[in-house]
Parts: sequence; structure tokens; C-alpha cells
Amino acid sequence: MNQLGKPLPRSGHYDGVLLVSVVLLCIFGVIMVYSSSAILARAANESDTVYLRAQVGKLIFGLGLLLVFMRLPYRVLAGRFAVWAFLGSILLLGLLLLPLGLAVVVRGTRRFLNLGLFVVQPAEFARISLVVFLSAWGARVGEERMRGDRRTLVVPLVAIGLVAGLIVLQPNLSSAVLVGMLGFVLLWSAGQPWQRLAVVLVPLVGVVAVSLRGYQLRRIVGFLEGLTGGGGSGLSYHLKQSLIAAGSGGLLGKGIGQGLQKYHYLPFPHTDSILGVVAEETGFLGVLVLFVVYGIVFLRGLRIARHAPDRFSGLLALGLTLSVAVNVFLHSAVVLGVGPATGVPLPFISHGGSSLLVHLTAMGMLLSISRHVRPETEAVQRTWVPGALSRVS
Amino acid sequence: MRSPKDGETAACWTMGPDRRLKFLAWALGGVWLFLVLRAAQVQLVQHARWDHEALLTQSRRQAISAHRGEIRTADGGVLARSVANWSLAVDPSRVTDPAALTMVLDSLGLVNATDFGRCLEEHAESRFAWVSRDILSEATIDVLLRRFPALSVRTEDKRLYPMGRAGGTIAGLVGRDQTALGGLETVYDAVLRGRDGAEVLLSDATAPAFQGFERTVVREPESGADIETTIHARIQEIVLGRMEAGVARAGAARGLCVVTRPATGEILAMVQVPSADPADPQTWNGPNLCVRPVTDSFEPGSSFKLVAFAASAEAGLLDPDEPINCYGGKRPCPGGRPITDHEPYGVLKTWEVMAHSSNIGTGVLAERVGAERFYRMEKSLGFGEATGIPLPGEGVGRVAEPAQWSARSLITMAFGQEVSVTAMQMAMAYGAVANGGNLMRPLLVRAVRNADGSPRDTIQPELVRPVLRLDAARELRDLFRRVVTDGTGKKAEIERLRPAGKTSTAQKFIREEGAYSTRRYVASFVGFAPYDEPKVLCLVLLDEPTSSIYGGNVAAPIFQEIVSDIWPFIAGEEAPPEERPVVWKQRELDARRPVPAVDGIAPALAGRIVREAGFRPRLLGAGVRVMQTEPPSGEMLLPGSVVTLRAGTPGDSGFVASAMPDVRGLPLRDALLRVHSAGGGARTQGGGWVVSQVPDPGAPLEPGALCLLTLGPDSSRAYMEFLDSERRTSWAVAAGNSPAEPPR
Repeated sequence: MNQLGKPLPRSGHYDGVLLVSVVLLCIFGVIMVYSSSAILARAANESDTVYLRAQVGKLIFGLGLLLVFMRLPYRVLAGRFAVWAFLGSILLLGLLLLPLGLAVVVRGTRRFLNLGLFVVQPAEFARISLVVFLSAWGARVGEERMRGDRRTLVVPLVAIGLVAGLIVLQPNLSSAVLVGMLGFVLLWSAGQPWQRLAVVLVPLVGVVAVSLRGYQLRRIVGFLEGLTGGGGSGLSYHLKQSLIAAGSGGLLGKGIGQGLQKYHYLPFPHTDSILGVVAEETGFLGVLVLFVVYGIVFLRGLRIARHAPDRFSGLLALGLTLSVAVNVFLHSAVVLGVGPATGVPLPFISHGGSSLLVHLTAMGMLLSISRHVRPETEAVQRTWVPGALSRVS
Repeated sequence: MRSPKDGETAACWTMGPDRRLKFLAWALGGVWLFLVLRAAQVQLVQHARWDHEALLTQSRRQAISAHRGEIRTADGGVLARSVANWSLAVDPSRVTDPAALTMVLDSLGLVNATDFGRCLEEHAESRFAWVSRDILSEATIDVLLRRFPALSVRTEDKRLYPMGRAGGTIAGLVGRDQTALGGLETVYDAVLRGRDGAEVLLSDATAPAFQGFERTVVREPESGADIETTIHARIQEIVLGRMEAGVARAGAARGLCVVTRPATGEILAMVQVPSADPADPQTWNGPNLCVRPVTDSFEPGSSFKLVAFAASAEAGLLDPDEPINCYGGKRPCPGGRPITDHEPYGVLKTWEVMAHSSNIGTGVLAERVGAERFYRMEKSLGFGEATGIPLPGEGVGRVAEPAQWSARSLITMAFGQEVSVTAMQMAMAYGAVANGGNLMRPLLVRAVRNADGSPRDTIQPELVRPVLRLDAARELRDLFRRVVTDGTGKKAEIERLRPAGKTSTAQKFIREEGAYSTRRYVASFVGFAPYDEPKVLCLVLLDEPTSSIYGGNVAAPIFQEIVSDIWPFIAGEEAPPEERPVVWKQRELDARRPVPAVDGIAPALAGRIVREAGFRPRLLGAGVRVMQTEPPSGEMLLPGSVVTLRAGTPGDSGFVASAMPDVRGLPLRDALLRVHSAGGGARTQGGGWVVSQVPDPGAPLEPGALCLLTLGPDSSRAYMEFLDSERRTSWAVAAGNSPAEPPR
């Protein structure tokens, strides 16, 4: 894997803006986790700071991971690493479903894996390793062949299908759909014609729609009603609590720690509804600032993708950025009442180890790529012309 | 950006890599903008709406119950009073460890383990169940609430009746849910109740108002008004003691007594035996909760002879020395059996007819007056109509109109058959004779005061109607005096007070047999003193006495006892305050009161005793007995002060063996409870309140040691001390010890 072609072009500078933005988000996250979890901890007869301490510990570990992947030459990821990481994720997902007693069963779902020292959420790791794998595959195949040969669709589809399928079985439909969407967008970005993807996608959507369970259908119908009817008495309890949190925050918010909706009104205030707490306590201004910082992260990510030195790093940077963005948007949409009710953590902010570690790892990879971008050149043609990056190997 | 080699998809429009990236960037930007706008919509445009929703969701309105007003006696005592009480509730759905909760609550004496376990099971689906509606100490509550989030505390008013049985029936009762159960509580419910306030408090989604959120009082509660009655607490207690003793002595089923000031119609005391004891819910049955002197009608018998004599006097037909033919004790009467006297009399003077209570002679007087004047006097004296006393369920009795009378009605009515009256009507009618001829309305409530003490309503004595001329009333008083001096009422005589009155021994009409019983009687005495200038009127009535059936034998002595005992209070000859005997039950009239002796008592009971004494108990330590209190017992403290109880278990260092509690002045039931809880056994003598105890308060009490409690009708300190020395001697003699050393 050390024969990665031409020597790496490098500017030598990490993307400082990206790094600072991510660290700021993480610090803000620690504050909000404390604010939103203290009441929960107290109700469970725990110390107020029990979630806070856990979050800080995971953050330190996550920042360590970020540093490791930042220092790692990104091309290492494109080779065996991609395959092993992918197979490892599949293994973890598989372990969840096996009756080994390793799965933590929460309300009939098997989403968490107890590895003794840690409890991890394999779906999070699977998402990022799928991105790495698809990028590596896309780079290996090259734009030309990807476009011309419909057989190039087989391996990525099997990979996406494997990951999404195992996640569906947990069951966790929304995560599976998220992973699937991410995979397809990445394939399209790598050059698969959208018509070809649509041929696969349309029947798949049909199958999913038919096999929806009652509660899943109700959530989607409820969400559509909320979108069209504008709410009122038809609002579901949780949706209404989110909107109360955000709406009562107003422009300036009630002040950090002063929110009331976290007193058992909001479902999972420290994870799936944390934006509600942010909106209530810091107001619209707080949400806006948060979104601006996220926007900076996305723009830096896209910029790194655009100026990436090769096809693999370009696809990887794009995939990682999209992975964060999709999570941020879905979480926000749920809390703001414009998404189907589902549990998605807010990257860098929400309490939850796997999500934090995975997203920090992703940022580490992105930073590693950022060392090699050459923004000073009009690099559009050079980096993205199919010929320039056609093959890696 | 099409690739020329891409034949397969050449026909399709395809984006190049850079345009795809741009497309994605725009897509992300679009979603970003959409979400920011959505946040602006929810947070800025709809802010007011969601803020309102937040208030609705996060706050709940709850009532602040108004403080219920007091019912006071004329001499500053309290018939009924509300104090704040802490109650403990549980949310069974949040109980995580039922076994631990049950164990802790059981060890605190708050619940019985098996009962509470069943309660948790039965209410498993519910969100609320009472644990205990009497809570011991704030410290206990604090610990419990920290340990078990499923518990919650509510304060609610608890109604106290400091006079116990002595005041229970007049005051009535208030149930836990603040519903009045009879008496003044019912009639004045709206006045006493006040108006509940309301508060809005923020709360979390699971527990009501438990996180120390702010409360906003929307409406202040308005305390209820206080009611000041004409009842005299001291008189009421003396009368109850005398009546209980008298009823027991006469072997009667029931007894009633009404004491009034005839000039004004004020009710000074009104007692019934048996009566409801506010401390004992088992006595809260229908008959006990009725104020029977007001609700129950009975055939009056000879005391109704008042009507025939009053009608004669008013018509100018009464000459005390005129001879009246009494037919030798038996006079045929149309439409039934002959009229008889209890002793055969030939010819009696008019005053002797009254003094010896001759039925035949009274019948002759009634015939002479005539049905119309007789009936007018009946109605005029208030029989057959409500007196208007503010108590629920007043009876009116029965006085038939002359048109419905039979041939013998006039004669039998003359000596009190075929009519029925209430004790209150009878007392008011005799009151009219006593006060010079004016029928007064009974006055029970003389003032209503706002919570701040300002008067809201003052009720003056009310004249119903003038009934008798002054001289006619005086003539009648003289006749009634001779009943006591020379007739059937000799046992009512009090030399210095010269009372007058009338005995009565009425056969009970047995409805099922359609005839008058020969075994069941109502014996009564109604009289006033002094006869020439009456200051007090007292009616004593015994239902079905067995020791003797005659009012002169069983009721007159009670009248005599009561009137002599209460006279100092009537005549305003009360001892100066410092010399006044301390009445145990009225200690709370003074602001400061002694800490009760609860050493050696189970903590739960000790807490109750301390709280009942008006303090706030605080329990420290775990154990089966209270080792010491802080401050020590006997110390004078202001009500509401905290009294710390240290609990311990035998064997602990500092554990003190049980001490004999001070039970003097307590009713039997309470006294036994305390003695038993201190580990002793008890023998009792007499009835009423404990007036003497052996061993002395504070003396060490071996487990199982026998105590002697002597009970008496009077609980004044002087009386106690008198009896104490007496009993001590007899106990010592009985036990074979020298009187100087009573056994411990």
C-alpha cells in the first residue's frame, strides 16, 4: 500500500479554521451536555456531572483519535485499511445480531454493543468505514470506468446493502436510510450516472415503503401532517415538546442552564433533542451561531474535497463532510419539526461516545487531507479531471 | 464535461465531477438555509405561541386552601381550630424498590408493612396514594424524600378539637376532605371556610412541583372567619363530667343537658352523653353527630305542666292556695284508661298540685282554662315551632291543633302526653318564666369575626315574643320554688342559691305496642336559680334510667351538682386568674406551654403527643424508645417550637428505662395509650379524666409494672390533688404498705 503513485503534493498546512471550528463545537457540546443532562442524572439518583464527566473523557479520547488520523498520511486509508475497517464494521454489526449476549437491548432494539470496556454503536463506525471503502473503490475504478461499466456498481451496492441491511435488522430504519443515502450520493459523486442509480433506488424505496412497520408509518404520516397542517393539536407529544423548547427560547434564549423543557419534557435532551435545549437556552442567536460554525465546517470540508490532491482524497473528503452534514441536518430537522421523529445525535454536541469518536476521526482524516490541498492553483481541472486521477495503484 | 468515450451514457446528460461538487454544495447550502429559516420561524415568528404553550405545559395551577376559621367559646377557649399538617403521599408507579420503602416506612411507624405492601399492589397503576396523613418531623420527611423520589409531601389543614368530647357535638366535625359533618361546622361552613387561593407553579413532566421551581400566587387565599359562641368552655367541661357520671350512676341509656342564661337566651353549655369524640372516628356515627338537645323530640311529661299553670296564671285563674280536687288518685277519663297519680291525693292546694306533680289536679286546671287558651299558651311558649338555633336538623316536636284533639287530649296534654318537644324548646319555655315572661331565641353564636379579629357580625339576644305578664311569671316561679322546697324536686336544693324547677317522669310511648311503656321512662329536671332573680337555667334529661325512674331522684341531683359547680362562673365570682385552678385541657389558652414528658415512649407516639401539644417534633436517631427530649419535659415553650426527640434502643449507652408518663388530665383512652406505650399495665377506677396516678410522673417504670389510674368527672388541678392524696392512701392500704410510701 505504500506504492500510492506520485509523491504527495503538500502545502504542509493543516486547515486551522476547520480544526478550531471543530474544537469550538466540542467545547460548546460539553457545556450543553452538562446543561441538558444534569436533571436526568439527578432523577436517576446520580451525580449531576455523571454525563458531563463521561463526555469529557470521550472528548479527550476523540481528540486523540483526531490527532492520530490527522498525522496519518491519508493514502494509507485507501488500501488494506479500507477493506479491513469495512470488514471489521460488518463484523461488529453482525455480532449485534448474534445471540451472544453482547448486544445491549433497549426497547427491543439492538443498537449498542457491549465490548466490556466500552459500549459502542457499530452503525456509526460502519458509516465511516463505508465512506472510506467506497472512496477507495471509486478511486481504484476511476471515473471513466465507473461511468461506462455498469458492473462497477456491483461491489459498492453489495457493500452498501450489507451495511444498511444489517442496520435495518437492529432495527434502526432511519440509520440505514441515512447510510444508504450517503452511499448513493457518494457513488453519484464518483461518477455513477444517476439514471443507473435510480434504477436500483426506486424499487428499493418501494420495498422499504411496503415493509414499514406501524409506528414507522405513523411517524412519517405525523411528520407529513406537521409539515402541511402546521401542527396544533395534531402534533405528536415529542414534536410539540421540541417546538415548545425552541419556540420559547425566542431570540436570546433563557440562558444556559435555565431551560425548562429538559425537565423530562424533551425526549433524550442530552442526545436526540439537544438542539432543542440549545435553542431554548441560547435562543435563535445561539442556533444561528451554531449553524454558522457548522457551515464553516461544511465549507472547509467541501473546499478540501474540491482541492484534494487525488481522486481518493476528494471522494473521501466529500463523503466525510456529507456524513457530518447529513447528521446535523437530520437532527435539526427532527428538533425543528420538519423531519420524521427519529433519534439522531448532533455531531460534536450530543452526548454519546461512538458518534463523537467517529466524527472526530472523520475530522482527523479531513485534516490529514487538508495538508495536501493546493488552493492557490486553479486546480479545478487538475484535481478533478478524470484523467489526472483515473487510477490509483 | 462529457467524456467522448462514454458511449453508453452519451445520450444522457451527465455532470462532471466539479459540477457534481457544486451541486452538492448548493444542496447543502439550501438545506442549511431552510433549517435556519425554520428556526427563525419557530423561534422568532411563533415565539409568543410557543411561549404560551410552554407555560401551559410546564405549569400547573393548584389551589391554596384557605385557613378554616376557629370556633371559640365565650371565655376564650377553642372548640375547633385548624393547624397545618404534613401528609406523605407516594406515586406507586415510581417506586423502584418497594421492599426498602416499606421497610423504612414501617420502621418509622408510619405504615404497617403488610398493609402498605397491599396498598402498593392495589395502586400499582395509579400515580397517587396516601402513605400517612400524619407526619412526624421535618427531618424525617427530608430524609425520606431524598431517599425515595416516589414520595411527595402535601400540607393540608388538620382540624383540631381541643375540648375533645366536651365540645365535639356542638362544634361538629370536619372530615379530612374539609367537608363539615354536623354542628356549627355545617351551619357556618361557608363563613368558616373562607375562599381558597390559587397558585401557578412550574413543574417538571413527572413530579409535581418538586424541583424548587418558583411559585406564583395568582390569588391569595382568604382565611375563613372565626365564630364566637356563647358556650362557656369551663361550664361545658364541668357539665360533661357531671353528666357522664350521672348517666352512669343512673344506669341511663342517654343523657342531655342544656344550660342557659334565661335573661338573654345564651346557651352556656349543651351536652349529650354519649357524644362524638373528635379523636375517635368510631364515635362519629349519626346519633352522636346530631346535637340531640336540638334534634330529638320526646314526650315531656310533668315539666309540660308549665303550660296549664302558665295559661291559668295569665288568665288570672291561679291562686296558689285554692284547693283542687284530685279525685283520690284516680279519675275516669273519656276515651281510655283513667288518669292516675303516682300517689293518691284527695284535695291539694294549687301549689301542692305542682309540688307533688299531680296529673289529675293539673288536668282540672287545664279544663278550667279551656282548650283554646291552653293551646295558645302552648304555641306561645314556643312548643311546636323551631327555636331557630343555628344547628343542623332542628326538631320542632309535635303540638296538635285543638281540632284534632280527642276528648281526653286536653287533660293528657296538661301533664305532658300526646305532645312532643325538644330539650331546647323546654329550656327556652322555662327561660321565659325565669326572665319575667319573655320567650327568647336561643343564642349560640354571638359574634363572627374576620380573620384579622375585626368584627364582621354581632348577634344580639333576640326576643321572640312576650309570653307572660311579670306577675304571672313571678307566681309561677314561686310555685316552682316550692317543688324544690316541699315537693318532688327536693334533691335539687342548693341552700344558698334557692333554685326552682320541675321534675318530670315521662313514660315512653312505644310505637310498636301503641301504648305507654311501664318500664321505660324519660326522667328530667328543668330549673333555674336563684328562683327570685334567675341567672342560670339548667335542664337535665336522662333517657331510660334504671336506678330510679323518677326525675326527682335521678335528674334533680345532677341539676344540683351542675348548678353548684358552675355557679362561680355564672355569677362572675371566678377566682382571680392566678388562683384559678389550671385546667389541663385549656392550657393552650396561655401562649407558652410545657413540653410533654415522652421519655420512654415509642417515637411515633411521642411525636404525636408532642405535636398534639402544639410543638413541632424532630426525631433524631433510630430506636424503639425516646431517650430524651430537648428541651426537657416541663420546659415552657411557645407553640410551634421544635422539640427534638432522641430515640434509642435498650442496651444503647444513655438509654433510659421507661418513665411513668404524666397522664393526669387526660381522657382514659389517651392515658392508657401512653401507659401501655411506656411498657406499663394499668388498672383504672371511675370515669371521666385521670385525676390521680400512681406511680408519680417521671418515676421509673419497670416493663409490665402495674399503674393505678383514678378517673373523675373533673380535671381541675385542685380536684386532682385532693383525690390524689385520698387515692394514694387507699392504694397504700390495699397494697399493705404504709401510706407514706406508695408502691412504685
